[in-house]
Amino acid sequence: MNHISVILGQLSDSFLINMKLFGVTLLFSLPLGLLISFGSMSRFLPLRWLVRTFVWMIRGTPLMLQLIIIFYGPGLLELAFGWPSGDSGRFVAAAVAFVINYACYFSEIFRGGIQSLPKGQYEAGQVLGMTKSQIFFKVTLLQLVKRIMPPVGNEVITLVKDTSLARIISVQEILMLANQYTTSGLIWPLFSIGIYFLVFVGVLTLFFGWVEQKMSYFKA
Amino acid sequence: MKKLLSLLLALTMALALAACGTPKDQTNDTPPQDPNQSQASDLDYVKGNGKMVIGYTLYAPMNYNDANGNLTGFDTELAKVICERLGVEPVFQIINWDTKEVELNAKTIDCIWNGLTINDERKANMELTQPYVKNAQVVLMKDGASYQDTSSLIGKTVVAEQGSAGEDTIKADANLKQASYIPKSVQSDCLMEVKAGTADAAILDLTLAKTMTGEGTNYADLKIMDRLGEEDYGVAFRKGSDLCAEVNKIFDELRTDGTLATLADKYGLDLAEAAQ
Repeated sequence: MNHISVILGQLSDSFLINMKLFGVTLLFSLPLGLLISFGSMSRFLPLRWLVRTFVWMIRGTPLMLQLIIIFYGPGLLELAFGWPSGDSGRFVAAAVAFVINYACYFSEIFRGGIQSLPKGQYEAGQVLGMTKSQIFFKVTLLQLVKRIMPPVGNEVITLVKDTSLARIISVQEILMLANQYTTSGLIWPLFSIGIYFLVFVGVLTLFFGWVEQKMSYFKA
Repeated sequence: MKKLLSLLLALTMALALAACGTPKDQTNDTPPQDPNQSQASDLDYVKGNGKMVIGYTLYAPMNYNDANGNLTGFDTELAKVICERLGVEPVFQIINWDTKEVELNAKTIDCIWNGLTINDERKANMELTQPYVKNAQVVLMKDGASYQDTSSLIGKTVVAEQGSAGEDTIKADANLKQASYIPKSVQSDCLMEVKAGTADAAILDLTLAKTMTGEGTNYADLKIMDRLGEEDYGVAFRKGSDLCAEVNKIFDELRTDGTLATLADKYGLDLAEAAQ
């Protein structure tokens, strides 16, 4: 029926919003997470304390609440800064909330990965006269990537489904759209969108499996 | 490298904390002026933007998508007419009904125009226009369910939209208070609950129930069992907004020239009396 294909088309369009949010979040939260992980390992005590408090605050509150605060906060507190009106403003606000939230989770994964590497490697590097950044980029980083791949994959898959939380600030992602069809009495769209998530996560799972295989040559 | 990074990070964190600090200072500095300011400027604010952002949820027959996916409905058409007379562009922004007041105060929308029931609580918190459409809260159940009056629902599961007039009805009714109440975020979800049998009854707006149930609809097996109290719809603006009076004036014009009556006929709605 023509009607069904129209609805499927609209569902697919709205799933693009989920994928866009997913992509933007990964793009910015991975580097930001690395930066935060350096902060949380800093030998400069006030910075370490500040960063760890921040991570505690972000990991300790619901993402849904962070979305609400980040989007409505500026207007309610009459700040000079405000989100652009319309759907794009809502999307940007959602992306900011997601990037901050996921960067904090990633930072802990990175910290775990970095600290799990044997200290002897640093010492060997220092003995060879390498600088700290040389040790990080030439010795640590590639091993780090391999070690953190499984937990990062876990987090990435969670992110796919978390994108639906953006509906709380009326970003019209797929769950919100599907739910709206119930207004006109159509119930099947709501029950069919699971397929979109399953397919997307399936592709990601294959991708992470492939990456892990590619990295198996690091095995000592 | 690392020093540079930590410096950068410290700066970012300091900025983040500073940003948390400023709102408090601002509110402390200007408490008496703020309400007056927003009072004086809301009409200018909207006209200055050249557009009025109208918060709505999909809700037949007030705002819904037609077969081609275009937004239509009684409130949609009415809002377009009124915006035209105001000389601003209507921008329809879909919202969650349970955060409508937050949206309004955060200025992410300029008004709530979506079959909003007028009640005292809302009158106290927002600026409401004159009533324009009549409505009632109805008890909706599966056809053939046993129902005499609200006492039939004691101990049963009842759904309504969170923050809606239906929810108020449940809280005010001595019998419905003894039912187990489950709030939903959209009215139409309530229909699905009753159809799926996960709830026994839904308390909804008459206008919505009339359009969405009965023969030829997807909810043909649901039936309106009872009417619980009549009420009126109004449009809500920010508290103290002068935009409200302006829209009221246009409402009067539309009543006089018959536009409102024509529109109500088209969607099968009853107009409310203007007297507030």
